[in-house]
Amino acid sequence: MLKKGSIILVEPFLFLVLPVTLSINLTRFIFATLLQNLIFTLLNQTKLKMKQSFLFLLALLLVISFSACDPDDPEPVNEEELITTLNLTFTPTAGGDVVAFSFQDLDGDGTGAPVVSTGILQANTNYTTSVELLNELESPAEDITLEIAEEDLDHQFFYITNVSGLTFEYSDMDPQGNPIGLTTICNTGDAGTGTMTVILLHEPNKTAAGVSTGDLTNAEGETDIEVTFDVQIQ
Amino acid sequence: MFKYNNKCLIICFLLCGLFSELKANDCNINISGHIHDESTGELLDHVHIYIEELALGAVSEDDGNFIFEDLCAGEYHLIFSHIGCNPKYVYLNLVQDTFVHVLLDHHASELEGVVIKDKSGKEETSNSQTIGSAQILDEANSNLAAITETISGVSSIRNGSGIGKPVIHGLYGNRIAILNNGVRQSGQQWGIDHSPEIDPLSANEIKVIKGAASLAHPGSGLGGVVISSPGKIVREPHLHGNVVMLGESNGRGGGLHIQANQYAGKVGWKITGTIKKAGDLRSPNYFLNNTGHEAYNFTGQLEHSVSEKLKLNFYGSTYNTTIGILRGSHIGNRSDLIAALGSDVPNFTEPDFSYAIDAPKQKVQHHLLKVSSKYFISDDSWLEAYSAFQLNDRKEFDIRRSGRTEIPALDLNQQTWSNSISFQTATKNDLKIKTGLDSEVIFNRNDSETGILPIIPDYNAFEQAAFIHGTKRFGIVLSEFGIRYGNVIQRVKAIEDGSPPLIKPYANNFNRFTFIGGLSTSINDLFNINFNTGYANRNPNVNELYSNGLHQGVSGIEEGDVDLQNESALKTTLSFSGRKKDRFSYELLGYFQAFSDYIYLNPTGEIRPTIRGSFPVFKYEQEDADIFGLDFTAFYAINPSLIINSNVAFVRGRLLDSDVPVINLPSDNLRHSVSYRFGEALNFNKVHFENMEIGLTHRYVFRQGRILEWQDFVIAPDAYQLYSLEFSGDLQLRKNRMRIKFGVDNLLDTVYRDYLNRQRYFADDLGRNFNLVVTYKF
Repeated sequence: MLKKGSIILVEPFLFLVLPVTLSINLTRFIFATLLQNLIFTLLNQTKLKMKQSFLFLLALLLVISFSACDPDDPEPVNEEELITTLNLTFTPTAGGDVVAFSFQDLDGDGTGAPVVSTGILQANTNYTTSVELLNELESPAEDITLEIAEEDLDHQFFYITNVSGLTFEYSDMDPQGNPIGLTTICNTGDAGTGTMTVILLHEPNKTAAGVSTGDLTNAEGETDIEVTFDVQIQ
Repeated sequence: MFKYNNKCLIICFLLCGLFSELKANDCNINISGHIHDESTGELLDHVHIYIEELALGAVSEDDGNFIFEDLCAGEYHLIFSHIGCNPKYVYLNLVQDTFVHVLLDHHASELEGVVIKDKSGKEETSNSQTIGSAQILDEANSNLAAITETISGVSSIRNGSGIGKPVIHGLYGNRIAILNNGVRQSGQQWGIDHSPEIDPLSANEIKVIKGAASLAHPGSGLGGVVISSPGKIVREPHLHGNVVMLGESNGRGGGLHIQANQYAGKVGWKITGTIKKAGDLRSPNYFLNNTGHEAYNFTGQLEHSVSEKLKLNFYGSTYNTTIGILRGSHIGNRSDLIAALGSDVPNFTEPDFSYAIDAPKQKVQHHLLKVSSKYFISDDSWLEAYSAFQLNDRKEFDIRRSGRTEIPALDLNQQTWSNSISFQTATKNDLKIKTGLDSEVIFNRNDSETGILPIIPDYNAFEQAAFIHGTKRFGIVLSEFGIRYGNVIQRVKAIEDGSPPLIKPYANNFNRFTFIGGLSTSINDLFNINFNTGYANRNPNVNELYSNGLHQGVSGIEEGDVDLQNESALKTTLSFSGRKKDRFSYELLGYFQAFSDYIYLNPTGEIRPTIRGSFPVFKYEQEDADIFGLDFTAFYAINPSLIINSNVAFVRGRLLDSDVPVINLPSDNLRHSVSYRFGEALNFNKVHFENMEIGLTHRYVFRQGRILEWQDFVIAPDAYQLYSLEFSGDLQLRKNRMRIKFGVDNLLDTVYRDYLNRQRYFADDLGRNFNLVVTYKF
């Protein structure tokens, strides 16, 4: 064991050095060797007044220990899951001009308003529609439609409209025979105006009543996309 | 109390080992003693005293005395237990006739296990209440927030039952400080759905201070402080500890907690470990799918008495938990929320129970390493220093496309370094001073692998502070004062909107002042007055300054404000308390918190269209606010067996400029309980059943009806009342002791929703729950 005389030195040494050196080594804020040397030199020079000098030393240490520094620039986040754009194309089955609707929201939740473009549908016409989802923050733009097609069991589009005579009928199906809604057959009625909402649900209950005919009521699931277009039929 | 001599101990070992025959000759030693109530000083009769080694029992007489005669020399463990007391364990190395003076901490000062600190030993003027280890073990199924909720004026803000944060006088998150073993708990404390990462079972004591009293620690506890302490290692040369088994019916959960400690020579150690697992919880009418949780927590503590003057302490803890979040509360946009609010049963509810924890879920790890030392200059003055490192890793998983569900949607990593040195001294004229310096460094990083823009940016934060705190006694009046000055530097790399997003650096510098002052006086036992006032600044947190984007959990877009200034609060508490021996005690506490530049999340009324649908926009704003209220606690023993407890808490808050109520304030609530304690121990063969108690608790929570319709997605839920039943008792086996606690929560399987539980938008709260805690002490 230690002699009595040596304990007087060892105690303050342990008291001071254990917590402090640990913090020195791990915080990487201070020039470890420099400070340690400083402490030991001071300790040696002031052997007799050691107890009194602890407070001062630690105070010194705490004050010196911060030279506040910036974090490194964060690594860029690859938002590959993001959907920025929805394109909805109406192709007349009997031939004629293709009508395009588009909703583009490049800043996601940000303050910028989305860019929406619409077209004019012909009255009493039969169209096939197809929907395309893009992440245009990627270059070249990433086609998210493929992801949806891959996970067709877990996704379904819904087309909700208040324009009388305008109907959508699913024309695709997943391996279990339930609709996906990437393509539909659309019929227009007489001329009129209103709105059309395109909704993409993730993990809907596809077998619930009415869901396979495009009724949202019992679908549950959570919304991945919900965009509303003004529609004009003439 | 009593003393034993190290040298005697060694001699005894020798004698016992070498001349064991001699022992027989040395078998006429007596142990006698008397037993007092610690707080009232009364002599206690009918205390059961039990010697484990001999399986020998005795009962104290009317005058509080007891005696064991003709014992052999040797080492003995004595247990003192008394109706309504936490049993006391005493180790004795018997070499000669010994007189023991025992103080028992009597339940009379407890209100549902919550001790109102004995006024005479008080060293602060703020009001505090403490939950002891017995109560913590009885509540072993609960998390930290739920345990502190038994204190009046303390509630919890929750997301389901797995995630909860303590709320003191209506304040939570960064407005209160949580200390774990003397170190400020770091981590993502700003979020409502981020529980403090502390295993309450690792604590021997949880204390709540209802005032600005965390002068000696970084961070801003302007609303109050929760202190979880592992306690000192008992100076006992033998291995002791607890094995606790827990189970509950709701969630079909179970757990195991082990604690072991020993103090051999100059080194003491203590370890604790907790493992818990539960599956889907159940509301009265349906399962809450994906609400299981699991936890693996361990702590180790090592104390080395280098000499009489120097003590070194090492502490390490690791906390690892996975918590499932109700599947039906994961929503896409505002339409989904409106649909969810209108439906009786949450989406994705399934008829079957499962232990599986799928996305959405949280995986949180928190590790702490602390080295501390205490150097006694004299008996009442010492230097204390510590250095602590915390590592917090929070991963939140959402339901995502193309297998990305396995990739966390939020992955935050925080490292915190805390250093402190303090000096405490007491002068002859009753002046106690504590002064010190402390510092804290935080590195907060996002993992870019998430593929989602982070909701809060990467930052470094630095705090340095100096404080001085003192108490002085003038006759019957105790006065208290304290000042703390701190400087906080934040260096932030925020990601701003844009395509591609821009990185914008910010450098902030905040100065923070805290002042406290108080007076406390004890006129007589029945009437004590405490007055405490404190002023504190809190700098805006990084999430309040820079959060930007969709907060999936609440289906809203949250926008920070880079121009936010310090928030400050002047909190004043005035309390009256008193007691009449074991019969009656009460505490009435009123408080007023005047905030200037109170920071809050304001619904702007804007509904922002995005490709995912539309979302309401919330913005961090600040304005003056008042939050005030009343806590009342009382205890009344009709007779020594029949006891009534009562807790009442009211809180009100108002934003002064916009003249609207403050949101997320707890509902008014009452809690009453009646318990019956069996005076006599029951004996079956050689098994004693002691301290049996049966209790019924009634809780009434009023509707939070003051919130205006536009301040929330839906109006506040209705008032509700819950009953719970509890039975507990100690079993003295031949050598060891066991405690059994059986309880039923929500006895009537009441359907209810609580205003401060965010899950209320989607589902009912928990149904009936049977729970069992068996503690085996060795």
